[in-house]
This record gives sequence, C-alpha cells and structure tokens, in this order.
Amino acid sequence: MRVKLIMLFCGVFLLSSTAAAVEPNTPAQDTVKMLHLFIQADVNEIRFENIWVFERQSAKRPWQVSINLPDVAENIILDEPNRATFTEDTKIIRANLAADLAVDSVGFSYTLANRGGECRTFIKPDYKVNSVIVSAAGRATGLASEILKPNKFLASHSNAFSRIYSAYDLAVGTKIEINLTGLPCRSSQVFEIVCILGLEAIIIAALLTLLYYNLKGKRRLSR
Amino acid sequence: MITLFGDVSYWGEGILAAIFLLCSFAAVFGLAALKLDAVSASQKILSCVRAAVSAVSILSVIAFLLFINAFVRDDFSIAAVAGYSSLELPFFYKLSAVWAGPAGSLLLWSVCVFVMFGLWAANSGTKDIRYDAARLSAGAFICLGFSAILVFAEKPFAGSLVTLDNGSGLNPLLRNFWMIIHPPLLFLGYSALSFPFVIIIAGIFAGKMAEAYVYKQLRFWLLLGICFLGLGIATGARWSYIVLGWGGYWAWDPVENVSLLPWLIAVASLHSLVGINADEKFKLWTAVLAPVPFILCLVATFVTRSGILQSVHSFGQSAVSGLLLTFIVCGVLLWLICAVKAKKAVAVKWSSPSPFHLNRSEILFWVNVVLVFTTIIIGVATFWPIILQFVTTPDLNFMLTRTFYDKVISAVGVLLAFLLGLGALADSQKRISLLLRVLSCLAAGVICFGFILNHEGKSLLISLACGICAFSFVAVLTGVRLTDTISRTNSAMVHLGVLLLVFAAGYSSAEQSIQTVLTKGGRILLGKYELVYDSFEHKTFNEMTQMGPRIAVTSKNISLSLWPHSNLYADDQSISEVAVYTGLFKDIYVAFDGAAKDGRVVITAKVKPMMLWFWIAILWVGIGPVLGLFEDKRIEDAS
Repeated sequence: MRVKLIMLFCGVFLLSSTAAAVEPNTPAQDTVKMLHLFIQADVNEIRFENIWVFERQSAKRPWQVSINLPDVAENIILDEPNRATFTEDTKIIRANLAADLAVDSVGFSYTLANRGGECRTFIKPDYKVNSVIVSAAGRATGLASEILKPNKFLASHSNAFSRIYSAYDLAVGTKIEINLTGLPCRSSQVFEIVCILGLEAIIIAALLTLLYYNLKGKRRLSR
Repeated sequence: MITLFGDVSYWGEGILAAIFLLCSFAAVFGLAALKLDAVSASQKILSCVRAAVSAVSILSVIAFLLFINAFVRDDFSIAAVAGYSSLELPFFYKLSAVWAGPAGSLLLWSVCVFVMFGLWAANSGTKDIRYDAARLSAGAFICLGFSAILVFAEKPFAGSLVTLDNGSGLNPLLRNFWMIIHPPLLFLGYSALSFPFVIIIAGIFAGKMAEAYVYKQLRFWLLLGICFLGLGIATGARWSYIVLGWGGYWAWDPVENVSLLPWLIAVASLHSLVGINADEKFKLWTAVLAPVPFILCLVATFVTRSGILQSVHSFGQSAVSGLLLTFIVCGVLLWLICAVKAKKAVAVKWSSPSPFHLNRSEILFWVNVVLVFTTIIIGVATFWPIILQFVTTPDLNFMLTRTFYDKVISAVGVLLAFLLGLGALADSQKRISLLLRVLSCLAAGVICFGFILNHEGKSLLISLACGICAFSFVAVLTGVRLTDTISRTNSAMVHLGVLLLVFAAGYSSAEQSIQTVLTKGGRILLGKYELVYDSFEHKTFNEMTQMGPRIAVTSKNISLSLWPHSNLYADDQSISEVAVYTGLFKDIYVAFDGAAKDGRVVITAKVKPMMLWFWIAILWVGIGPVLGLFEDKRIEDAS
C-alpha cells in the first residue's frame, strides 16, 4: 500500500512536470505586477519606453509572455533581444522569462507618429494588471484616458517627469486608452501663406482703388 | 486662461499674422492716399489707415502679454521659454528672460515701435493730408518690416522641438537688476529713433520740408530716442562695471560700439536741429543726418544677431540676419534718395560758409562735424576686421585694441568739451561780459589743471583734459541767465552733465590696480589702502551657492569689509560678482578671479577715482533730454 502511494505521487509529479514542459503556462495564469510607460515626444514622433514586470505563482518552469503592440508602432527596440522576439506581421513581442524566477521583466520601446501635436493609442494586455504608471514628459503634454488618472503624489517626487498617471487592479483585456495632446509639432506655415496672399490682395486692392478714383476724376473732368 | 481657448503658440502666431496684414494695409493704402488727387477719398483712406495702425499697437500689446504669460506659466512648449527660462528662475528674472533671447528681444523692440507709432498716428495729425499720408505710410512700412521678421524669420511663438519638463534657464550673466531694465530702455531708444527716419522721408516725399511742424516732430522723437538710448547704454555700462569683473564700464566691444553710433548721430542731429534757429542751412544738415540713427540701429541689431563680429553680447547666428540686411540695404537706398532730394526739398539758399567767424551756429556746425567724424572712426574701427578680410586674406581676424579707442575718444571728448565752452561764450551779447567770462573760465581751467597736475599727481594729458572741462564748465555756468527759457536752461544743465562726464571719465582713467595671489591673513597695499584676506565664505541659497574671499579694507579714514564672490548655479553655470565700495571721490573695487586647493585666492583690486560723479553725470545726461519734452508740452499748452 505504501509503495502504491509513493508510485502514485511519482506518477502525478512526472505527469505534471511533463505537462508543464510540453505546454507553457497560458498568459491568463500570470499577472503584470507593474507596467511602466515613459512617454517623450519630439516634432516627428512619440517614443514609448515600456517596462513590463510579470509575476507568477510558482517558479522553476519555462515561462513565456506575449505583448501586443499597436498596429502603427515603429522602430521597435528590444532591451534584451537574446530572449525576446518581435514579429512584424502580428506586432507581438514574445519573451522567454527566467525559468527560476517568480518575477521578471521585459523592456522595449517603440515610436508612434506625432500627428499635428496629438497621438491616440491604447494598450490591451492579455493579463491581469496590478498597476500601470504612465510618465509623460513635457509640461504642456496632456494625457486623457478613462482608466488612467493623474497621480500627483508620484509627480511631486519626480524630477524628470512632470505628469504621471496611474491605474490599479485592471482585469484581463482591459483597454488602457492613451490620448496625448499638446505635443510639440512643426510650426504651421498657414499663417505665412495667409500673410503672403493677404499682402498680394492688399496691393491689388490699393491699385484698384487708385484706378477707380483716377477714372472717376477723369470722368468728372470730361463732363 | 489661454489654454481654455487653445494653444498659446497658435494664438500668438495668429495675432502676429494679423499685425502683418494690418501693417501691409496701412503701408500700401497710405501710399495710395498720397498718390490720390481726390481729397475726400484720401481722408477716408487715411482714417482707415489710422484705425489699422491703432489696431496694430493694441494687438502687439496683446501678443506681448501672451508671450510674458507663457514665461510666467513656464510653458516650455514654446521654444523661447524652454531656451531662456526655467522652473527655478525667480519671477523678475522670468520677466527679463522674455527679452533674453533673439526672438523675445525682437518682439519687445517691435512692440515698442508699434505702440509708439500707434500713439503718434492717433495724436499728432497735421492738417496736411499729403504729409500725413506719407508719414503714416512710411511708418507703416517700418512696422511691416518688423512684423515680417516676426512672422517669417524670428518667430517668438515657435514651439519646442521636444517636450521639456524644465527649461535651460537664464544665462547667469543676465541675472542682474540692470539686465532687467537695460534691454527695454535700449529698445525704447531704438524705437524712438525710427521716427526721425519716417519724418524726413515723409517730409521730403510730401514736399513739406519747409514746414515748422516737421522739425517740431523731429525734435520730439530725437529727444526721446537720445534719452532712452542714453539710459540704455548707461544701464549696460553699470552692468558691465559690477558683473563682468574686467574693472570697467566700457570695453569697446563691437556690440557696445554699434549701440553708441546711433546715439552719437542722434545727438548730432539734435544739435543740427537747434542750429536751424540761427541758420536755415542746418535744415539740409538735419535732413541728411536725422534718418541715419535708425539705419545704424538696424546695423547694430544685424551685428548682434549675425555673428559677423566676435562679441560677448552676440546672440550667435540667427535666421533674421538675411532679412535685416535687406532692410538695411533698403534703408540706405532710401536715405541716399532723401539726401539727394534734400537740398531742393528744404528750399534754402546756399551761400558759402564763413568758418573762422566765431558764432553759435559755427560752433554747432563744428560740434556736428566732430560727432559725425567720431561716429565714422568708431564705425570703421568696429568693422575693421571685416574690412581687412575684404582687402587682405580672409583668414585674418584683427580687432583694434582698447588703447586705440581710448585715445580717439579722449581726444574727441576734450575737443567737444572745449567746443561746449566756446559755444557758451559765443552767446555773450556784450564785450565786457564776454571778457569777464573768458577770464573767469581761464582762471578755473588753470587752477584745475595746476591742482590736478601737482596735488593729485596725475599725468599732463589728464590734467589738461580736466582743466579744459573746468574752463567750459564755468563758461556754461556763467551763461545761464534767470530770464532763459526752460529749454535753454535745460540745455545748459545737460551740457554741464556732459562736462562732468568727460571730467570724471578722464580722471577715473588714472586708476590704481593690482592683481595678486593671497593666502589667508595675507595683506597688500594699494595706494593708501591696506587689503587683508580674512576668510573664505560660502552662502547657500535654493538656486545657487555663493563663495569668495572676505577682504578687509582699511585706511586712515575707512574700515570696511568687501566680499567679491562667485555665484554657482544649480545648472552648473557660474559668474563672479565684484565687490564695490563707492565713496564720494573714490571707488574701491575688488574682483575674485579664482581659488586654489591650498586656500590661496587670486583677486584684482582697483582704486578708481571719481566714479560716483561719473555715474551721476551719466544719469544726468541721460535724463536731461526728457525735460526738453516737457518744454514742448508747455509751449503747446500755452499756445
């Protein structure tokens, strides 16, 4: 009987280990402990620097996570390309995290185009998210989101970023919208064009006025 | 508040574009009104032009307030705010940061021009439609030039290229009280000197150079320009004296020189204008000289922004220099046309002058000659490196030394002082009074010369210069009569100030100076003063740390402690601030040049005589012309 019990335990252990080795744990089983997003913009593009800190219940088994990037993301740079891959077609980053750790992170950055000082994007993690912190550089940069709220405490302790937004305990698949406004943008040449066209119109109007009054004067003389 | 309505940058650029269009309307339709034969139509157009000019001045003030608001709110999305301000900058320096950059300073200058022109257009209309049309059009063309620069080249509301949480901060050299008021005064002066250009152009093209109101308007703007530019130069000199630590108030830096040139010509124009009362031939001289200060102001701005000459003041190369050069060329061409037309326009019969007959108009003529000659010499010397590059090898960069300028200006100063005395004596109506005055002047001159040479031990040249100043001082003082008009009394007071200035500048050039290394407790003797290095002190503030040696200064009469120090700012920038004790007849000036790790310090100490009187004189000469404006107002009220 004792031998049978030992054999059953060994069998269950072997099966579970094999199952673990064959099937990586599904994303839903892990959580994103912290998601840090640093946003900086210039007149052409906005750079999003990401740090995703993952957590799992048990360690010592292979561990893979995947992150969906926005379809229009460009210039993707992985912090550790030897353990993460990016597929251009699907815009998904797959990272193999340390097998012996319960907490590990993935770092990467990408850019989105700056369209006239505005940018609309979102993140939709396939994991439960414990905390999201978004730091936006630039005092004029405004961030609007239904999920993210300004975090004045963190902002007051930051020298580098004046606007920090956060959200906590988000369910799997929650869409985190990030709408940026007030980004630097190329100065519009509209006013310059209006000025040149306006000056030309004024000169023409002045010439017509002169012509009108001169004709009027001549007509009066001829009468 | 402005964020409620959108982007500051957008609104700012929109207002500047509106100003450009209104200026275009005023300039072009003003010209049309000048060309029209129908009086009623001209009047209708001119009233619209006046309204446009008023709108320009109001809109420019709004644009400037928006720009200031961006600095106060630390809106780093605006490139000018990000480049010249920071969160830590105290409020008053945020205000001075508004005009610290090339775009902000041009906006300030433009606003001064627009507002002055708006007030002038609204208040001083003459009954002559042709002249009014010409002056409104010419003024609007100048405003158009400024607005074109703001719209196309030096955009004050341009956005930052990157988002920033904090700006670069203000250059520490500019974090000084005198730098808050120096640029506005300078630009007020530059702005006021635009209008003599407008008046002469309008007078010549409308054929009104024989009219008295042309010269009255000219006098007003010349006095205002001389006053503001003079005060601007004086505040800049004071800043150099206490901040730069080179021990002087004037370094003959190219940018300093080019700001002096319009002032000198404006003074010459004013004297020429005064001469019209005595001799109508001065009308021609005035018509030729009066437009020049404005062109020289443009040249000064071009030098500051183009980077063609090495200077501590320059903004570096700027996008505006091409446009400015175009304006300078246009201005010079217009001036040449005016100069050619002037002889016919002023309608004065020309007779050969009698140069050796001493009278008031002859002295005024020679004052003008000296001032113009001085301007030409300083101008050529300032541009000498460029001239040399044209005629010799392009690599050669040779600037004339301070000694050259000092010699030239000393000679000119003494000559002008002598002419001032002669001019005052030429006013004498009776021979006896002339004889008595000449004798008293000579006595004052000789006593002063002898005292300074023997008792004070100064050089022969300095003693001679001071003697001539004393001669002229007595000549001007004895020329003042109780029955004189305010204008004449004011003119005499300003001339006394000029003489005091020449005297103090000459006398202070004979300073005692030493640069030495001191260990703690070490002492040096400078004249009759003993300087002891007591301790090395630090003071820490939020935005900076100050450090420097505490120097005890003792003599028979005084015992004081001076603390020249360096200011080290949080952004790793630093400047040194000198310590100055100002006495009635002597300044004790100590600059901290550096410290070694072993505790030794390097200091420069100077004893500079008559400096208090120099600053009093410079203020006196600067403010004096304002009293002339009150005289104008008084005459108007009386009439």
